[in-house]
Amino acid sequence: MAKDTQPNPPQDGGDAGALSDKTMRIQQLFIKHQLGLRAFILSLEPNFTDAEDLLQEVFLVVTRKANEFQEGTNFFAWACTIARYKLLESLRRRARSQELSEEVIEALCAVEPEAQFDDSRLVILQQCLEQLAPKARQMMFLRYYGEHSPSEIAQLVSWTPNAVRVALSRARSVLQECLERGLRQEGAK
Amino acid sequence: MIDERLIVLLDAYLDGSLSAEEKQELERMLLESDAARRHFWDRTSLHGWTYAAAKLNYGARPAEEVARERRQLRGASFATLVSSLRRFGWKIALAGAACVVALVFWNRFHAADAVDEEDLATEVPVETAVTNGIAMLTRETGVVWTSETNSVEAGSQLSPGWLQLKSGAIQVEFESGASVIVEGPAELQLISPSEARLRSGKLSAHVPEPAHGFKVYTPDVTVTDLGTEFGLDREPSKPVEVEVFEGKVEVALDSTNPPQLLNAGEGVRISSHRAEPMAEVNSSEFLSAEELARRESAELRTRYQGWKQVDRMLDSDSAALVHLNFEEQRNLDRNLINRAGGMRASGQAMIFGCDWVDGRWPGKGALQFSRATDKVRLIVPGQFQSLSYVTWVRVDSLPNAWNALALVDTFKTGETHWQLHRNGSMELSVRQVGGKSGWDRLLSRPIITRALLGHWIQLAAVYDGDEGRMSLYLNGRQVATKLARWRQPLTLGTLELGNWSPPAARAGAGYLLREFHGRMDEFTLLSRPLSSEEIRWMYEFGKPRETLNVARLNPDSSSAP
Repeated sequence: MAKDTQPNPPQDGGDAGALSDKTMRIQQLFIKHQLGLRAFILSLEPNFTDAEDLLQEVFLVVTRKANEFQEGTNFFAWACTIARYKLLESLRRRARSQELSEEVIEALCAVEPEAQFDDSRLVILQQCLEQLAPKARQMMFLRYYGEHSPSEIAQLVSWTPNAVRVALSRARSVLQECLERGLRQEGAK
Repeated sequence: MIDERLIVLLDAYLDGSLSAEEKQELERMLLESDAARRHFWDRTSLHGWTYAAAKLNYGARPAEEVARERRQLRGASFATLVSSLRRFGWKIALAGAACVVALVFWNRFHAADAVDEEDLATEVPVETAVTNGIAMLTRETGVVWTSETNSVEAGSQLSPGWLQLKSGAIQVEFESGASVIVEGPAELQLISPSEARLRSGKLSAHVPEPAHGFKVYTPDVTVTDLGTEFGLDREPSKPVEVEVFEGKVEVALDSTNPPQLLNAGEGVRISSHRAEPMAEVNSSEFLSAEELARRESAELRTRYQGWKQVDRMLDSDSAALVHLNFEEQRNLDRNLINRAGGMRASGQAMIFGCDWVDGRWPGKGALQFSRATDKVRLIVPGQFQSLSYVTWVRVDSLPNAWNALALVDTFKTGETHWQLHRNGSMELSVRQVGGKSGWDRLLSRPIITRALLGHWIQLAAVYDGDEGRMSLYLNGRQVATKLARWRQPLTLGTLELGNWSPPAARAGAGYLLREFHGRMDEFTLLSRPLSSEEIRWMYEFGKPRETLNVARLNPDSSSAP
């Protein structure tokens, strides 16, 4: 009963025939990996709006270069490479005070961090977020759902910016421990 | 053992509060140590995943609960939205950006008078507007029109006249069945269902059997199609070229020379009234129908993605009461998720009847209203000093004297109605006292012209209680405004989108049927006045195509009373 999971309208509806099949498949892959990709981008570009812009550019490049992608190889790694190039390109265009240098970004990516962006982490983190103490949860809500900076949060809750930073940092550490615990349990299953 | 200093620096990096010295320190640590690089990913991947988790967790909760948490967020500002839209805008704009800028500063004010219900009888229904279409614009990609008068969009009927394309490409299907693809810059005159004139540009024609005899004139040569496919290239300072890919065509230079027959694989280059045979023809120099379709589809996807990413920002406006974007819903869903996160946000909306269909873009959800019982209903409690409505609809027809956008049935002082008249004008009205004179109405001139039927449009209505002003908008432009006759709080109660179901005893039979005929794929209601700039930006980011930004408001003289 009412358990139809067919999304409507379907993602590939309408003019599907107009794009090549391969491009369509690659776009589907993008959609599938989009949460992980956004998370990856946010690691190198922590500002939410800039990261969103970058994600959109990556979508455009992925669409344009769909034919260059060798199916069966790692899509996520390919898309991360595109994201990295796009980021470096935008940093060269407009240097920003907070972003890391090109050299550092290259060194970081050499670590091959793709495993950190597997969707399984999201599910665990969603639970961890709910288990936070009320104050910590509120901090995370304001920072990540409301997309407020620590100084904006400070105004909203009438704390000092420094107190907010400390609270955010503690909440992150609690989340990180919770996540690692969850991953270990998952690995043990 | 994790270096605590590294964690402090990483968190400052994530929160955007690194000083120049701290940044240097962090970079040094990251370059020097492999362990530090691993810690970097542990900590920063948490940043991205928490973002996703928070959005998903809170997004899935009942609006009241989110609203409670949100009490901390006094005035999540729309200014932030506007500024990020602005920035985003330059990224996404493909063409016509200059027009956008020009139009932002271009507002027309049309004072409107209140009407009596009797006036409705004299309104001319939109359907009776005459049209002499000889062709249809079927596809377009990256189009920039040279003049405002040309701003037609895919799906539009085309009348005889010039199409002047600065760039991009279009496909035009003539009523005879002939179809042409024109690449800009180009100037094409539509003459009749089987005749066109190309002053400049690149044209390829596909002419099926019933349309044989289709003619394209150029200043140097007339091409008559006798077979199926040919290309015509007339670029400045180059001799005009005619190439036949399939079937045959007749080429006539002028009346003194007999026409010349060209077969498939043949071509001529014409200069100084002489036709030189071409060594080879190459259909790949012309844009194929497949490639045009592919480009168009990629463009639409890009806009859809762009809209998605900015649309969710509306949810966090603290004044948002209702935000239905019809996304991520399944075809059996009988309720619509209200994504508004404002303190006074309403609950979910219920769907009665209505079919799920495609919205502004392929893949975007929308509801089709076509039966007398189709409607969306939700409860909006409370009184409001100001209200702003914004919706994206595709009007199919206006069969009733009044056609509902958003109506209520309280019959109380302050009840607010938003609807379209049979003649295509839009009305916002607030009830003051009983009887027909008891309404404070703002009525636009007829704005839903025949050319707009079947196309996605943005409609907006604002009751600004601070200024005491009522305003109406079509596609980001103000189409009517006036000062309110009374100042009073507004009420909604049970809000119906696309229909009206008052208790039968209360309604006069003539005004009972108000069902909307068309599609809706977004509806937003805020408890504060939106500025015309905000509405303009919402339009720019919500419009289905990039080329829509000029002259939708081309006054259609045939439907003006």
